[in-house]
Amino acid sequence: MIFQTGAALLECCVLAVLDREDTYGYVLTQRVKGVLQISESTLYPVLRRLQKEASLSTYDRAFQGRNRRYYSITPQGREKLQQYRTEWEAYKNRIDDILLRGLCGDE
Amino acid sequence: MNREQYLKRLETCLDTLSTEERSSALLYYVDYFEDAGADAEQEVIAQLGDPRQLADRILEENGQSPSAGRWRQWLAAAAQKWGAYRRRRSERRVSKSPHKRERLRIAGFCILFVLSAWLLLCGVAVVILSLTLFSTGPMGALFYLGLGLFVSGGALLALSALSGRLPRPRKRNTPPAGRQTAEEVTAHGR
Repeated sequence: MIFQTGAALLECCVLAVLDREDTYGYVLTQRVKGVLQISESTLYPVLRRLQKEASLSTYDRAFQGRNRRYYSITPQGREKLQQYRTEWEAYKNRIDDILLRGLCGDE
Repeated sequence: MNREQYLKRLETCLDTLSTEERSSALLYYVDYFEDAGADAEQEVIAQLGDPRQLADRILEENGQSPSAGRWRQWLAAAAQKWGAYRRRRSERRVSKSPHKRERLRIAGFCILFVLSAWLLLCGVAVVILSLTLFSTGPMGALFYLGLGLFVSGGALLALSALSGRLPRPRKRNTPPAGRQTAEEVTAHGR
């Protein structure tokens, strides 16, 4: 992909995936990787940041004799996701205007 | 590198983090390896990349400078300062007296050259001396032989380095910095 994926875009993709269901790091990475070209190493810092600002919470669940850490979106995270969606809609429309419809600024 | 080595390396690189932060990161990657499956171990290592770079991202997120970068940053800063100092020094010197500088260079070169040549002679003398010592005690002779070879080797290296930077009798161009200042001065005078 030629468009760079910034931190905000990565954050909202993580939140959107977790909005559907709780999941663990590996699956989360694979889901995001299916959409954006990211390296496997980029996701942990994003998750940790979201967790610290209480947009995500974690819990451990036993799986094959070990604990697997699951990530879950919090009400605060849902709010943030909603903000991201509004912001994205506006951004997407502006880019579409100039890129696909040939409109510029105040037209 | 296998999974254990990778995680160990990652842990070492994260040693400046708090225990909580470090164990959180390690747990994530232990989980990651587990969930990817034992067959994919090498693939995961390749995808995750150099453990130090992985650690740097986590450190940056925690507001710390990258682990590898600290020394490199320090060295880069020192090199920059040294470069600036050298530039200032040479500008000052050039504007003062380029000929005096050239003469100093030649004098220094001569002194170093004589010193290295003298060292080379000493080294060779010790080697010859050690050869005569072999009949009395081979251990002592070997010691002196090694010493002599070491000294003459060092002297030879110094000589070759010196000959590489032989001061040429050509006239040195005044660097543009000096000329510029002269122009500025005349412009000011007018």
